[in-house]
Amino acid sequence: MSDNIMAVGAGAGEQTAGGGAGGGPPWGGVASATSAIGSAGASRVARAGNIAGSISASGAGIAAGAVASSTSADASGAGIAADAAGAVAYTASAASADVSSAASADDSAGATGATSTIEAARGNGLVAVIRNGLLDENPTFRLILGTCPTLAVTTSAINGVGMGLSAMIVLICSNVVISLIRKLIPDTVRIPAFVTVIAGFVTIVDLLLHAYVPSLYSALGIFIPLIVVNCIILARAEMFACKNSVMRSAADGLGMGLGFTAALLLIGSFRELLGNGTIFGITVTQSLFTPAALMLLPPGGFLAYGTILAIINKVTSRKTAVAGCDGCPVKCGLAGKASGRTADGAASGAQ
Amino acid sequence: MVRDLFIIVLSTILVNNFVLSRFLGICPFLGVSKKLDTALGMSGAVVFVMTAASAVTWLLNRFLLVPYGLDAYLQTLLFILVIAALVQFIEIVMKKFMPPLYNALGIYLPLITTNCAVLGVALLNMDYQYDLARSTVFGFAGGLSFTLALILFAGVRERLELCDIPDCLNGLPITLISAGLVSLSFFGFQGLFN
Repeated sequence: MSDNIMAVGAGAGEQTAGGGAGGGPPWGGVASATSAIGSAGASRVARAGNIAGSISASGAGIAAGAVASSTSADASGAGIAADAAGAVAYTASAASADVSSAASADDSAGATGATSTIEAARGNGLVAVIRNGLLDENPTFRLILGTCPTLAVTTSAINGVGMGLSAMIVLICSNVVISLIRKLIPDTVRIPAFVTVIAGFVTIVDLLLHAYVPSLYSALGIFIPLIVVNCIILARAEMFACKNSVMRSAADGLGMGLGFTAALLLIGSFRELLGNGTIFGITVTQSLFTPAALMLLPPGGFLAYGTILAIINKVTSRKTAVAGCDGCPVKCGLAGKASGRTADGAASGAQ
Repeated sequence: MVRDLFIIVLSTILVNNFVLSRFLGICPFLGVSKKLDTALGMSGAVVFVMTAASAVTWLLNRFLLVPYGLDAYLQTLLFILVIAALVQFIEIVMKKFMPPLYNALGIYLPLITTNCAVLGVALLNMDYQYDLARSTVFGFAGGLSFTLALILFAGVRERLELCDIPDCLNGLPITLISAGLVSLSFFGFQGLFN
């Protein structure tokens, strides 16, 4: 694990979260493997991040709820790590020049810590897994994954729901299959194998939509085949499906899919209401105000997503990841931390 | 022909910007645009990969999928696997033969595999039924549009760092709202080509 400790010294946020875990030898073995897309380092960090979360959760005691544990994590990253083996790593990251990467390390640790806290508090039930995907680790508002379809298809609520359900079907099916074959896939070709499975199911959904719901097919356009590069599906395959049983993976797919669909429904309704005065095609407020067509156009997508995210942050009093790839658990090569690169490459990375 | 290519390049960069109008490549756009030098590195890698991927996927589609009638079923699967392999191949070649370029761009290459923009441009080429020259140029122009959006936004975000932002807006929300304003500014180019 010496390369992890070097990364701690370099002060890189994501690597620090991994190094701070003090993860066991099994992950060290993964770290030295080179995968086809070079995401081995990403998975090592992601898995180590999970360990960091569970260590900090058990060390800090079981908090009253997700909000409480994550606000305490936000208050001081050093606080949550004080009891954990990762204390060195978190203080090192706090001392590093890049404050935001430290903040994102705290955030991601806080998120995984909160998840593990919930699981520890409620037991590892399937309902907890589903609830996790829907609320605590909502892929759109907490993990900030899959932003491309979120912005592009939410021009109306029905399109948003359609995309969400399509992605949910792909997610559940791919999670189940990947969980079934997880012991058969060699570690070096893990990501291409996942991508193959996901692409298979995306093709199936694409053809089914084309045949049975052509209006939705033409509305979603190229974003149906782009579900295959939707970070949510690959991230859940990497983080969950290849490490858990079939039932739990299916539950996770259901939870994440429901969370994604709910988020798309929310943003889609917001945009459709303000941009067209309708919801699901039913005219609601045509007489109250003149709709702003801007909300249906690309700028409106950004504005709607940002505003809703701000409102959710305010209501739940919790910060999300600083930027899209900072909060992504896959860490698929961003900022030079993939494929076992040296700490020098990591230090000069994006964040 | 040249005029068509010129129109493709300009309209892709300005009017139908890949990031700000088509919403392809948002994840790296939000993730990498914090600093200008990382934005430049990422953009270079994306231009490289998008051009190469456009050409290679077009050739594969034309000579492998279409003759055997497979393009309805295997297009998505083949394209994404080819893009993944291509990215890995480019990384190896770059590391071996162009070390300075690799040091500048190489760390961003693995990220580009899940970039919607690369698979998106390959699929758009199929949708628009471009020939090889137009496909390649469209891929190149898409990369340039990504570059423009990324560099502009990196400038905006570097300024945002100095602002006093409320807690609930800090981080991603204000970034997204700023991106919305940048996207709105690009709306002025609508109607540039009829």
